[in-house]
Amino acid sequence: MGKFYMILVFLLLFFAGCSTSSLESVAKTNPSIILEDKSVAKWLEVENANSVIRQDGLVELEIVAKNSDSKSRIFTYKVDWYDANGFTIQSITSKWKIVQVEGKRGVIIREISPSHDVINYKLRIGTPNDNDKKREQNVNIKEYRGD
Amino acid sequence: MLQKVLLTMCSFVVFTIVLTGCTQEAPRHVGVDNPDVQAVVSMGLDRQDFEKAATDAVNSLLRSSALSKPDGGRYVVAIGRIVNDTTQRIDTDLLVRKIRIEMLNSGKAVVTSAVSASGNDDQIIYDTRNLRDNDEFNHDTIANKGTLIAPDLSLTGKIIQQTKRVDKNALVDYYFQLVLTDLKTGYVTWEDEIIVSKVGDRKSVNW
Repeated sequence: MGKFYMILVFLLLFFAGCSTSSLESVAKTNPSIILEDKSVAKWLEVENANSVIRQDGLVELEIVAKNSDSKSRIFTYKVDWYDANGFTIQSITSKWKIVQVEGKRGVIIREISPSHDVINYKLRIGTPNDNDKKREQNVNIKEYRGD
Repeated sequence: MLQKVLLTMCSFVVFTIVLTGCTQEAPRHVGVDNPDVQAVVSMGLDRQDFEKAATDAVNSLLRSSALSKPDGGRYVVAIGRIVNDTTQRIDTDLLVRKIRIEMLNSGKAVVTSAVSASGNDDQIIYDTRNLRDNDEFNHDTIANKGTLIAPDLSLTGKIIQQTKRVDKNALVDYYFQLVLTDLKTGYVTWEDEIIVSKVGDRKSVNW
């Protein structure tokens, strides 16, 4: 029951933060979103954000965002999943990912917790460092054609 | 005399340059996520490619609820054939093992070592049962008949390669196709296809 209420609080904060499209304002009102580099907020706008605890106990989150710049942009993100004791749960899915978004196009981030032991998460959003540029990984890129 | 000295000096310089070029970098450990290592990309399947395919497959599998048992228990999954339809020698365990680990850690499934079409079965399971006829062993410590659990689901798949050459470039597409089948009904309860594409000089692809 404690887990349910904790997630409910985060969900409420999440939806409260979704009333505007500014990534920075969403991050301010939602402790689960951490903006590692505020410069991303200048061009990445959040159009929709959803988080749900499924019946099977897994936590699923989805963020639909759009690149407001006319140029193609790159950002990075990572989801850290936490158990009831506050320990991170290791998973191959919990790695920094580099996402490229074409100018004026959208991107969908969809992640699911690796275990039903997860009761909390932190979504970290930033920009690639020099090492990321070396890796040039483009994984889990989802794009959709916006209006 | 001067010419001989000059010739000797030039030979020495050339010799030194050649030797310097022949020295090999001493072996050293590199981290798994070392960016210098990850920056090395070949036209074949690299470790990062298997990780991407496994990551995408696990995300897709968990989102699909195919491993969510109605009574909240865990499914028993057997690993079936993963066909390598590429021109490379690949141990498909490089892909499957990562998926198995995530399935186990999810708490939604267990993988059986008693049944496998990919050589992942553990022969010791059957060797220990053969000890029932051996009086040297305490029979109370040997597994009884009827204790092995049959699998509910099987994970099978295929890795396909398609190579296209255009002008000076080569485009290689790798298709990781995975299927989860309900063994009682034969229904496919989940499947996905992950594509990894690479572009490079056509000379770098000789297969």
